[in-house]
Amino acid sequence: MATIDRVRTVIADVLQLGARRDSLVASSPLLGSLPELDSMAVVALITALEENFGIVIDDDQLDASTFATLGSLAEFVDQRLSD
Amino acid sequence: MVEAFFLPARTGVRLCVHHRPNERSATGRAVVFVPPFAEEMNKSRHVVAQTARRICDMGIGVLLIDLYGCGDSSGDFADATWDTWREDVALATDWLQICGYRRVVLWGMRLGGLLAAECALAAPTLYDRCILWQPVISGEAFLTQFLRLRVANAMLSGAAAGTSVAQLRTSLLAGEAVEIAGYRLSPGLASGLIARTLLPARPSCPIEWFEVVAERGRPPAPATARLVDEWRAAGSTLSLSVVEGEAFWGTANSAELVQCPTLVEATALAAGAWT
Repeated sequence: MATIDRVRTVIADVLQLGARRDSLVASSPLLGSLPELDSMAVVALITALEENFGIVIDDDQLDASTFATLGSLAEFVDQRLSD
Repeated sequence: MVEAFFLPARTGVRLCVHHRPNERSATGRAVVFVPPFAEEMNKSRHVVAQTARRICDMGIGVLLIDLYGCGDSSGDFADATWDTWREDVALATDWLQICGYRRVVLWGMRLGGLLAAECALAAPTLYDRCILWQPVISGEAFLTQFLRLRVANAMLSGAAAGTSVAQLRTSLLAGEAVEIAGYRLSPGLASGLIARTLLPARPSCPIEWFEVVAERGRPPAPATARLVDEWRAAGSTLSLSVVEGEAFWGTANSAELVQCPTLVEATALAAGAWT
């Protein structure tokens, strides 16, 4: 499965998006657009990404632009996978 | 019958809620609930209370205790230590025994699961069994997640590069308390967390482990599956129940409480089978 599809599943799980999951595409805005994405959810999401992809996310690498869209987050995960 | 009272402790008092079964159905068994950490406790109280009522209906007492510095118990969160919390679990256990309960079960959730396992390990003959709800496996990883809350808050508020987790850890190790999402975390408690992992804290009593997954049929997290295998290989009597539900203790929408009927049901079912 492509990274973006796996990231979509993780987001949908953490935020309990249900059927809204299917409407998430690469350009879908996340931060500021999904009301569920508060600070506890961001932390849960980072943790879930670490667990699902077996990566370690250094917080210095994080900023709001990472969580701008599904596409930007998937790209960030791809970079960590190739680190 | 549900009674709330303040239990005197070495320092101050602890708020306790006792679900007392009626005398006709009483089994002589009681459960001590060891709560999760910080905000997770507030997110969980309703699910815990529902489960406590179900267990109590089966003639089993349940004691819910707010640990030192948490909820309505004495003390500041900033002064809480791992050892004080262990004393609180022992205090709750003593109280149930004085009440006349002959068998005591520990029931720990998230970080409280790690605490409960350690308490059960330290007193091998005291506890009848140990229930774990989504226990924290690594105190250090848990601390990182907690510290990240501050990073995430800064990010969400659009603040310029906030304090990183690494910087917060450095402050803690240098003996400074840090403020995270309204909780003042002391260096003592942080170092207590860093030192804890679930693997060596294997209780000798039977273990009933419950994990919540997002979708029916999914396996538990790899770290959980590994630990369960290791404990079993080391001789534990362990049942693992994986239920479908939401991670209600860390839910996204701050204002909203999330239910988890599958977990309540599975736990009540397990308690009903205790002999």
